[in-house]
Amino acid sequence: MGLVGETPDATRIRSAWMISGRPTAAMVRLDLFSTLTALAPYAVVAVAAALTGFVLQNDLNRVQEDGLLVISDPFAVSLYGGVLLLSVYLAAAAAMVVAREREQGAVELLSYGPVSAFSYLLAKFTSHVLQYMILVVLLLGSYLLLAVATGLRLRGSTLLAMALSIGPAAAAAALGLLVAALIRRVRPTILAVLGLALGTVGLQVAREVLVRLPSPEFHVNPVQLLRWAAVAVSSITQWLLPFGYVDRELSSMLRGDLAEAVGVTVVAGVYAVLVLALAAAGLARTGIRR
Amino acid sequence: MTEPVVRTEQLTKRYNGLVAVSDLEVGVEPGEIYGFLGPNGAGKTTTLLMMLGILKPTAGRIYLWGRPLEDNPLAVKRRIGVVGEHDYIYDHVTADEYLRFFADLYGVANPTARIGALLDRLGLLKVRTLPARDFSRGMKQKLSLARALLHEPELLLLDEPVSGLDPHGIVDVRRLLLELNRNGVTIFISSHLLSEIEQTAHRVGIMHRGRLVRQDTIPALRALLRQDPTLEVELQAPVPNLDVQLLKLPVVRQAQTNGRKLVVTVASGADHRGVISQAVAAAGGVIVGMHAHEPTLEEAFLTLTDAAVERWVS
Repeated sequence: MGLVGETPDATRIRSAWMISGRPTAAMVRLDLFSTLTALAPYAVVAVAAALTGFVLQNDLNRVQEDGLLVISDPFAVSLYGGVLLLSVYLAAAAAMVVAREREQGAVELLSYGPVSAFSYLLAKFTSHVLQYMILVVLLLGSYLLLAVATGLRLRGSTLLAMALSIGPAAAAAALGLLVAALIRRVRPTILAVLGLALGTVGLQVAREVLVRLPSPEFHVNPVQLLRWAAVAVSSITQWLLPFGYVDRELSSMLRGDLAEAVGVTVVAGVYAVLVLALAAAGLARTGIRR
Repeated sequence: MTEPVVRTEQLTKRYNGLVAVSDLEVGVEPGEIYGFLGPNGAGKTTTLLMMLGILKPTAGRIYLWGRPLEDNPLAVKRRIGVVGEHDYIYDHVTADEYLRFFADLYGVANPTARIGALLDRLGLLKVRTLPARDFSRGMKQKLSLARALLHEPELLLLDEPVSGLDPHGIVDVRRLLLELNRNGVTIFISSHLLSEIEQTAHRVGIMHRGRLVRQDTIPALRALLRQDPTLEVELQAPVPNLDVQLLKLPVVRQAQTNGRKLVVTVASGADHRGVISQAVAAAGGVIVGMHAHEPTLEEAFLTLTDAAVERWVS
């Protein structure tokens, strides 16, 4: 019932909040509580920070050995690796949570109440994006500590790149949810997400290697063919898979192209929404029963 | 006329050609306790899940409070409390946190007081701060019931609600359900235990192989399932052709001798031990002992063969 003096719109908003918003918020709170009291997210940040330390140490050694190292941003490689690692973790974690909860019957239990497939997935998505924000802040903290310890400067663009990486990270979480909605079982779900992540990275590496390879002067040039194939496939996966958005966003930012980086983040956000809707349809189709 | 709280219309569910529920027509009246009875695999859980919109019917419709379920399932489900057959309990949280989460999910006003009252009522107050993974199956079942009652539902859908409970727990839950029903809550209990349904339900629907074979009140069902009592007689010595002679008596339905043992099924409604004693004596037999056995309603139900159920269907 609406309050006295409430407009019909306000009543509708209140009703929508009661029916969908409140359950979603409750699920987000429980998920965040469960995730942040677990060890895995901190372990991932610790690995990313350790890798950064290793890269910086390596750079400093080279400076000591050669006397000079020309590098535009000492944190660039670490940032790339760290954000990619967090995104892959986020996709795998989101996929694992949904697959596990479906297998255990938690999704069915929630469906006894006012929880739809979409609000369930929206809650998982939101909690994972919030989790990513917390993890990025922790990673940033480790960068600041390393910057102070090494005397290397942490550039503003690095901070901005980290902030904008939320779009690609959201896309990664949405993809994890889609995979879990379609596959159902925990182990195949995790393998599929990791396969997609490694496939994207592997394809990107193959493309870079092939582009740099000299082409032999044959009538039918196999390197040229492979190069075309790698470029064609990676051009598609760059848009179809979220890890491509991570790559594009960070590359734009490290080039100093803020407008493009913002654009990539926005497109990644749209991608996340579309994939989330697909995941909800997939979950409704494959069924929420264990 | 009041609309039934739950009504199904030719509800059917098939899985790859296998019929789980067929043309089910069930009506649960407001304030009623409806027992949904049947052996495992009869289609009870499938029906319940269709009522919640978790499984999509192959055909037919479900009406809750007179409106098709698909009209606004989320709003309707706020009025329902459910205990599933194998409820998942988040085992890393305490009973208190578990219920607080669901209170939050349903928007329960004054959750602390409500949770405390329910835990107290179900005897879980002392363990409220323990993680659910340390709970016994019975405690988990009670926690599920507390969760289902948190938002003060108008309709309770319970799938085997006393499974895993000890006798004290069963009595506690039964009392609670009767109390809730007195306060106006409509209850739909699915169970394979006739004894449980018999003590709580006003009306019973019997499912068999996906079909509702009978829907009646408990007294009517009791009359239907009543079986003739059996007399087990021990003789001093075997008497030739005693069974044939006993079958001539109008009260004897069946008679079978096995050496010194005689089993006679007699017509229900009166004590026929005197008649049988006289007949045995007339045939030259001496009775050493006699034991009368009146089947309970549960035994009668359990001994019903598939063929008998099929006869009801036809």
